[in-house]
Amino acid sequence: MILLLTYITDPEKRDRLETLYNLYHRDMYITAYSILKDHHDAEDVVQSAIIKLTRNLDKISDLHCNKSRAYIVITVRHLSLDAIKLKKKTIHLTPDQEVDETSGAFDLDGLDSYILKLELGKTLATALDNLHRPYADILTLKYYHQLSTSEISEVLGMTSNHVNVTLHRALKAIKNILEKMETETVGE
Amino acid sequence: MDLNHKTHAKIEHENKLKDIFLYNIAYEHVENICDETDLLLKANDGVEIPETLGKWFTTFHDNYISNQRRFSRKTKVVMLIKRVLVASVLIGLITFTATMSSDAFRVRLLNLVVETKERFTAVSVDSDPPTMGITATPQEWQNEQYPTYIPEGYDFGEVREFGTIKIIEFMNADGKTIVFSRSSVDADYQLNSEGGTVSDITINGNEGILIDNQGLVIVYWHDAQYSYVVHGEEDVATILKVAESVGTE
Repeated sequence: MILLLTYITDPEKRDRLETLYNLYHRDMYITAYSILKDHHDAEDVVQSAIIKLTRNLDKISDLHCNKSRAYIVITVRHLSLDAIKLKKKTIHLTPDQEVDETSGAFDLDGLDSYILKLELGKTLATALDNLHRPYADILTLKYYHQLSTSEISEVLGMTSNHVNVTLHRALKAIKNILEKMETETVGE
Repeated sequence: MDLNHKTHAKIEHENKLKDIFLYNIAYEHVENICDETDLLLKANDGVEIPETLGKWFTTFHDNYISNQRRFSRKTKVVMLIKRVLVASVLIGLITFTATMSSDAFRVRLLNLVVETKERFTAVSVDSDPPTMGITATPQEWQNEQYPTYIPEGYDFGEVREFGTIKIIEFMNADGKTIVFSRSSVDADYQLNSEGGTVSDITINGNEGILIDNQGLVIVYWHDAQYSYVVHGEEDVATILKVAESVGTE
């Protein structure tokens, strides 16, 4: 009976991992290759990404959607950047100070501001991505994928404190972008 | 509604709006990533995925499934063992509690461990009313004590011996029994006194107790060498008369 149950439940998991690979192996490989410009390194990164994603397979609810695709691409992108850092033997210095991510880095004047500025989402996302891509990625994992700080730190290979610092800076950056946009509008 | 409540609600409202605002930016970033990836795939249309990646995935996948199966099987076996253990412990506890909380069950359980050695044969009771004496006794009991009086209608049912305990059972046509047992004085007896009245008595100059338990009368006494018990579903006077008649013929 136990063996029978094992064989019934396994195909579901088998399908998910296979589906993930079949759907996204090309996305993963090309993303890694476009950053690393080396086939062997890209292959290594894709393998690492699959191992990492397998561990968090339960967090991907629907494989056939942009949300999952973006999650996978962000994972591969950060693993590729880590590989470059490792190759250059650069040491990433994590900030010393403890940062509270909710410590007022981002507050708009008045509740209406949040509603009125919703239409700026696309512009802000593009501007943030252009400013510093990890800001946009961390913001996405936090507010779109609803991951905790420790989960983000696992996906991106950062310390929890580094995640908090980057998130804090991302919120500050959005505020700066908004202020800059308002100044430009007034100037015109 | 107090001021703190209002302030708290306002903060919560603001935080929710802020979360929606940031969620919207994140959503657009996800769309940007997908658009960018599509462009990237188009630009790298000619790039072939190495076959080694596919081979690696097949091996990795097989190992993953095998590990999942092993883990799942192990978990289920552990769960099953735990459940069986818990059920066994529960059944054991219930049986033990039920057995030990009732004197009748307890005595039966203890009697189970006593080995039956041999049975008596060729025993008969003189059925002349009003007094019945034992006219034929087992050879081994020629010099033993037993009731020389049994009430009218009773006849020998069974004679048993468990170690140092000797038992004679008398039975009438209605299936009622009077049981006489004798054992060494240091033997322990489990007498069912639940719901009955207990009183001190003297049998042939020896101390004893009488238990009258809803129709079942039990008489226990002892001398320097033996303990005796007579019990049956007769009135107290009859059982006492049987007890007082115990002796050798």
